[in-house]
Amino acid sequence: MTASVVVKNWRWMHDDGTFATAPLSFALKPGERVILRGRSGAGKSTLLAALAGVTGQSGQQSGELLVNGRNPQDARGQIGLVLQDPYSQAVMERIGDDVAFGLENTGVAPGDMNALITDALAAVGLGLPFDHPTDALSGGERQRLALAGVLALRPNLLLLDEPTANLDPMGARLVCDAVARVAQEHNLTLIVVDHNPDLWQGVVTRELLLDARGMTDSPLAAPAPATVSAGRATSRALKPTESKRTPLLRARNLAVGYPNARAVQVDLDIDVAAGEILAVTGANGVGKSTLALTLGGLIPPVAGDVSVAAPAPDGPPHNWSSRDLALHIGSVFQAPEHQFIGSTVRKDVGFGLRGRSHRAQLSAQVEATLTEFNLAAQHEQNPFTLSGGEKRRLSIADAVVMRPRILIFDEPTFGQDDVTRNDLVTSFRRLRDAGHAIVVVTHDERFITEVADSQLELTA
Amino acid sequence: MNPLSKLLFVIIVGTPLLLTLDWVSATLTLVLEASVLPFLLRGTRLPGRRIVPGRRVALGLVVVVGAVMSGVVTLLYASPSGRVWFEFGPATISDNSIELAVATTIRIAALCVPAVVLFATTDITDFADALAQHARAPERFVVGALAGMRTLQLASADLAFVRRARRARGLSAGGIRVVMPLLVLSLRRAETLSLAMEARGFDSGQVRTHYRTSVFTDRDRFSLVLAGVIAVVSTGVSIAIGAWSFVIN
Repeated sequence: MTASVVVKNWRWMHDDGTFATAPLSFALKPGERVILRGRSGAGKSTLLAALAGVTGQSGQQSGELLVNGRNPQDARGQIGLVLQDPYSQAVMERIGDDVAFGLENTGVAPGDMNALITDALAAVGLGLPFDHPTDALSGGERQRLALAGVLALRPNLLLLDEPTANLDPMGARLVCDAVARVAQEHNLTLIVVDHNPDLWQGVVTRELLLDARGMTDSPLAAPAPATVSAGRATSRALKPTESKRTPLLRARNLAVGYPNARAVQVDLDIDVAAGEILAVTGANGVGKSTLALTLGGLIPPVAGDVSVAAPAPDGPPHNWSSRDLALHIGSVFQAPEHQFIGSTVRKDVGFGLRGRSHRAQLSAQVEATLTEFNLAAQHEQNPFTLSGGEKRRLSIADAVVMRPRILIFDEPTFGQDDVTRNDLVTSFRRLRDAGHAIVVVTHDERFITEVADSQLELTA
Repeated sequence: MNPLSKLLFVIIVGTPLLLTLDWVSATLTLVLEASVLPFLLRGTRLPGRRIVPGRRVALGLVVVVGAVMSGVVTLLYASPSGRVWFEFGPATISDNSIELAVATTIRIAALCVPAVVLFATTDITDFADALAQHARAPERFVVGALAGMRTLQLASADLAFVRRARRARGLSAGGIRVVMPLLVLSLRRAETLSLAMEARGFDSGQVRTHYRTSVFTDRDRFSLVLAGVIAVVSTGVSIAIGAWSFVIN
């Protein structure tokens, strides 16, 4: 019940004649478990899709790629694939039906399905009734449902494409544990793509590194020193702010919640001074993003006040014009695509400045921002065609170009590779030193240790 | 009730109403529907919430308002004959237009009431199952439509984000420009979904089995007989008393 993988001089050619990767060669013995790493855009997803026998994009492959000595396209359903986005993998409205979907496709007799569904859901720790609505699941539960959907098919090879990139540490841990358990139990061959190798410590035994030159193969380095757990313990507490400067952004007795819904957090007192980075943490669903939207003046508070130190427009931010908002508070969203406006990178960055500055000043400011965020080379590209890391940098550039004194970020490091992450750390330090007051919602403990001055942990 | 028999019920009952303009057949149909629908739907739960969340009242209102508005238009603009009661420009209320208006209002109500009631009590997954298993609809189409419904739900969440992001960047929240990011995001979601579906063996040439069997019970067969009876009785009575008025005349 387990598969070998043989890849020899394999590469993928896009329709425009460019190659997604250098020619790749590697082999996995049955039951071997590896982590595949590499920068975003290195071709990891393309490789995984090809190994799953599905055609995610148009193009051609050359070389050899065999699962159990066969072309993976002839073994669909026996190779399980779980993708990154928790929200677009469930096909059916109810979780039982969703797990059954693959069973239906592969012609399993209806009478055998209930037992298989029960097993699969139990294996991933989703002890919910079959008619539980898919939409009521959290991101982590959705990923475990996706895992159950492929496990029910009794695959012999499991391919995971950044399965935890959008999850909080708790959700990521549960997904990882579920994978570890089933991989062990069924002796599955496993390839997992993830930017967080620490998480998979103890599950995988080898690391494959994909870069422009091809594949580097190495046994896993010794476990990282136990700084992770230490960091966790200290970061739980709310560190007092050292600076005694007057806060730029302040909230008193703040209760936040989506319009027409109940408050998710009440009685928050928040002060963020110029040159301070406040990290907002807590499990999924406790109201971090809601707080970010409220502080950013994008939804009204349920109760309490948000105020910005003078010079600022009158009244609370949610009553400001969008013009004023953009000048004083920059918000950067979880999904960069939500905020792209221009047809090119340059236009997108310059959008907020239109009609304000002189032409020359405008272009100088745009130029400086493009250089600052390392986007000068891509200035003519359409924002939607950028790589993941470039999109993230552009979304920050969009907010920063207006030089608002307050910046609010929602999960800026989600799904970013190490290089982009390190760039972000540098950018954050620079923005802090330039005197911005920064609020960052994040699950990323390492990021908090590296940049945050204070922390606000939200609990349910 | 099987979703397919619900659909057939609406078609059978509704067809005669599309052929005539009189009020007798419409009234009879409406009365008969009202008496059999509660029986047919006895014990049915209401999963319609998922299809039209919190909008059952709104749907009911649409039927009433739609029927009354069509009636009013007919009242004012149907070709005048008989005694003329009111005249203002092209708008004329006459004996003929009053009769037609009443007939139209009742007819639209008779057409829409079963459609709305039956739709609101139908679970979309059951409907897909019924289409695939009884109507031999292509699986690609049926499952594709189900998956499409899901991306639609996700798109509405994306729209809220795009609007807020635009406000944060100093722009009005609406406008045609929200379309581009929505389109890109939806396409990407659809791509992920189709990849996930393909990886789980969808459309691999294998004959699909069905987890839930869509059953066609005696109640379903009986509902179709009832639908036939309603159509025949209302048409028959209407013709017998000379009220039938064929629509193409």
